[in-house]
Amino acid sequence: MRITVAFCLVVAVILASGIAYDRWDRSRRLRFGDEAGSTSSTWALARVESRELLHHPAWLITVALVTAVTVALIVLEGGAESEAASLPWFAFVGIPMAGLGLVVSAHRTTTRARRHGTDELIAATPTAARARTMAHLISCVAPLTIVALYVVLDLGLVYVLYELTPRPTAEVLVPVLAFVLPVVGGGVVGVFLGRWLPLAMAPLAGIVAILWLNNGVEHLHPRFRMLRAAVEEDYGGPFDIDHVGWHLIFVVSIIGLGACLALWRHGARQWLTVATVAVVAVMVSLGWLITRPPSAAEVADVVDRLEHPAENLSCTVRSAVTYCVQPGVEHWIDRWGPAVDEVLAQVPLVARPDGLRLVQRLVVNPRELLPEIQAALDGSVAWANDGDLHPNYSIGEEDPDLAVAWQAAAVAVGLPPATSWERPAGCMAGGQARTVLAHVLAARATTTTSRTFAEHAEWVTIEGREREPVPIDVELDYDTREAAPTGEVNEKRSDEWEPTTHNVAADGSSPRPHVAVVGASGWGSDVLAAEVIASADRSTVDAVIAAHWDELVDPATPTSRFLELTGPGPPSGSIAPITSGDDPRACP
Amino acid sequence: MSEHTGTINLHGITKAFRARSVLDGLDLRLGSGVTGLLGPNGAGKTTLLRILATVLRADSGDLEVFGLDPRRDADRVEIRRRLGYVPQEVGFHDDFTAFEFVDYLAILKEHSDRDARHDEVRRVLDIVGLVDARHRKIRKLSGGMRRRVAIAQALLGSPELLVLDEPTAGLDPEQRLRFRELLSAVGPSTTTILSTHQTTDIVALCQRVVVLHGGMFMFDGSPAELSATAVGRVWLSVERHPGAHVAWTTGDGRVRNVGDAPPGAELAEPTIEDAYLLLVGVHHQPDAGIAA
Repeated sequence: MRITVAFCLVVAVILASGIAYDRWDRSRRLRFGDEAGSTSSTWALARVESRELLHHPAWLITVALVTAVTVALIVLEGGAESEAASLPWFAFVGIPMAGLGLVVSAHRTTTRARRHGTDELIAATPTAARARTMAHLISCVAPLTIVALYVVLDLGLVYVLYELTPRPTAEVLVPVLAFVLPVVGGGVVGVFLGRWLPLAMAPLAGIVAILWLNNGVEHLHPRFRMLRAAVEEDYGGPFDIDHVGWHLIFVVSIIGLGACLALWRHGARQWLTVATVAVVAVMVSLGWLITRPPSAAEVADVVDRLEHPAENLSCTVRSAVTYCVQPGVEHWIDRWGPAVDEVLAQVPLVARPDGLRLVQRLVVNPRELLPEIQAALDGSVAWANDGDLHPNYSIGEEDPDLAVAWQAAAVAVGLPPATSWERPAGCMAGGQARTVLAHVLAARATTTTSRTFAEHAEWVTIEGREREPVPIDVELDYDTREAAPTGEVNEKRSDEWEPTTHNVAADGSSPRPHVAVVGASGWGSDVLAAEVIASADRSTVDAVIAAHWDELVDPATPTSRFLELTGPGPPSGSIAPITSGDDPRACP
Repeated sequence: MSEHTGTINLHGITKAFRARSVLDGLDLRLGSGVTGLLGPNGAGKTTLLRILATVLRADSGDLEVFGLDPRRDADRVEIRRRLGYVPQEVGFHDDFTAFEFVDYLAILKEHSDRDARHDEVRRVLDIVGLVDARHRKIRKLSGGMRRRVAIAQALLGSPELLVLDEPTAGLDPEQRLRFRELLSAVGPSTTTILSTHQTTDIVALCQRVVVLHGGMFMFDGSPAELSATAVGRVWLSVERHPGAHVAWTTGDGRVRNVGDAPPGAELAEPTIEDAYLLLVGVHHQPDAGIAA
C-alpha cells in the first residue's frame, strides 16, 4: 500500500509542479502556438526523433559506460567468472542503466524546441504539438536496436575471448526478453517529464524518483517488484501463484500511463481519456493481482506440486527405471539415464534395486514461499526420503547426471539417497564399507562424476574433514566446475561450500524449517578411502564388488575391510571409526 | 486605405500585453504581391505578423486569411498549410545540419513523401544558395547563412502567404540582393508581407507599403505615394537648419534637412526614408547618422 501511495504522490507532484511551472512561465515570457493541428506527420517525425535520440550525448555516454564496465569486468575479472559475462548481468544492470540514461536524453530531445527557441517557427506549421509528443514517445523504441546489437556484441566478446557459448536457459531468456521495458520506460519517463517539467534538473529528479520507488519503498516486499522488468526465481520461483507475464504487463501499464500523461499535456481527447482509464485499470488490476493473498485452491495446488511432484510430471520408463520430469525437459532423461545405468551396471544382478524411480524436484527455498503456502506445506512429505531418486537441482542445469549418480549408488547399497534441497545428513553410516562403496559406484559411473569426485576428495583433504560427517553427495557448484574443466579446485569454490555445510549441524538437523533432513553421511575419511579404491585397477575392484557384495553392504562391515579386499592400501590419514548400530544417528 | 481584394482582411484588430496596448483597432486588406511593413521598434509590427502567422491570437477584432477564420482550429491549421513564416528571432536546432533542419520543418509542414520532401528541401536550399553547405551543422554556419536557412524553410512548398519579419537582418549586401532576387521570383499570386527597417528593400521589392506606428496604421499606399508625402519637406543647405526634424551631412558636404522647409529653400527629391521619418515624427537629432 505504501508503494501505491508513494507512486501516486510522485505522479501528483510532477503534474502539480508542471502546472505551477507552466503558469509561472506564461507570466514571464511569450508562448506561441496552440493544440490545433494534424498528426499525419507523426511517423516521419518519429524517424527523425529516433535518430536524434540515438545520437544524443546522454545516451551515448550511458552506452559507453555500460560497455566500459562490461568489458572491464569480463577482461579484468576473468571472463566466465564475471557476472558481466552473463546475460542476466546485462538484463538486470546494463539495461536499467541504459534506461536511466534515456530518461535524460529523451527529456532533452523533447524540450529541444523550447531550449533552442524554435517553438515560434514550429507553431506556424500545421502539425499538432501532440504529434510531436507522440513522435517522441514512438522514438523511445529506437534504442532497442542498439540494446539488441549490444547483447550480440556482449555475447560475441565472451565467445571470442573464452569460447563460451551462451546458454539460452529460461532464467536467462525471460529477463532478456523483458529488456524492452526499462529501455522504453526510461525514454517514456523522459518524454513525460519533458512535457510537464521542461527544466534541466527534471530528468535527474526523475531518476532519483525512479530509484526511490524501485529500491526504497517496500522494495523487499516478497511479491511486489515495482519496476523490475524480469521476475527473479528467488521469489517463490515456479511456485509463486503469479504468472511471470502479469508483472511484465503491470510494468507495461506503468509505461503506458507515462505515455498517456505526456499526451495529457496537450489537453483532453476522447481516445486519450479511454486509453488512460484503460492503463490505470490494468495497472490497478495487475497490481492487486500480483500482491493479493493466494486462494485456498492456489495454495492447495502449490502444496500438491511440492508434496506430490510425480503426479504432476511426465513419466517415462527406460532400462527398468522410471523417470518423471517437468514438461519440456524430457530430454534430460538422456543425461540422467547413462549415469543411473552405469551405477546399476556395477551392482550384481540379483542385488539391483527393483522399481527404481527418479522424480524431479524443483529447487525452492521454503522461506521464500508465500506464508500461506509455508503454513500449509508438510516438509516431511515434500522432501521425504521416499526411496525415489530426486535430482535436486533446478531446471536449467547442464550437468544433471551428478546428483542422480550418487543417489542411485546410495539406494543400491541400502542407504537413503541425499535428495533434499539442502545438503542433508539425516543418518550416519560413517566408517562403513557401504558408504565407501556408494562413492566408488558413483565416481566410476561417468567421466563427469569421476572428475567431480576427485575434486570432492581434494576438498575433504584441504578442509581437514576426515573425521567430520560428509554426505554421500558431491554438493557441486556446476557453473564453477564448468569454468574449470581441468578439474582444478579453486579457492572460490571451496569458499562457496563453507556456508552451505554450516547450514547442516553435525547431528543432521537443518535450520530450514521445511527441509526434511534425509540422506546418509559417512566420514570424510570414507571419501578418501573411496578415492583410493576408485583409482585402483578397475577389474580387481569389479571382482571384489561382485564377490563380496553382501558383505560390503552389511552395515557392520568397516571401511578397512573394503580396502583390505581391494588391496591398494589405506589412504593418507587414519580412518574414522565405524558408526555402530547403537548410535541413534546410525542409518538402518 | 487602399482597396485591395483581400487575401488577408483585418478589421478592428487589437492586442495588448498586460496593460500596454500594442495594436489598436487595425483595419487592413492585403492581396497578392509584396507588401512592406515599416515602423519603428515597438510599433507592433512583429505582433501583427505573429497574428497573421497564427502563432498569436488577437484580443479582439476579425481576421480572415484566405477567407478562413483563424479562431477556428480547422481554419487555423489550413492557413498554416498555406503559410511560409520567418520570425524575427529564429531559433535553430544547432546540432542539426542545414538539410536536417529544413527537412524537419518540411515534415512539420506535412511533406510526408520522403523522396519528394528531400527534393523540395534541396530546391529551397538551392534558392538561398546553401545547397553546398547543406550538410554543415547549423552551429557552424555564419549569422547570414543561418538567416538564409530560415528563409529557405519559409519557401517550402511554395506557400501562398509569406510572412517575413526582418528576413534580411544580418545579411550582407550581396545576400540582400540575392534575397531580392528570390523574392521577386516568387509567384505573382503569392501574398507576401515583409517587415523590414531596410527602406531600400521596400522600394526595390514592394508594390505596397504600410507604416505602423503606435499600434495604428499611419500610411497605406505605394512606395512612390509614400515618398510623395515628403515633397517640399526635404531641402539642402550649407548648415543644419534649426527647423529640421532631422538633418545630416551628405557626401558632397551639404546638409540634407527633413522637416518643414523654410521659404526659398533648395528642395531636394524626397526618398521613402524621408517620408517615413516625417510620418513617424522623428524629432531633431543632430547628425542622427541615418545613412542615405
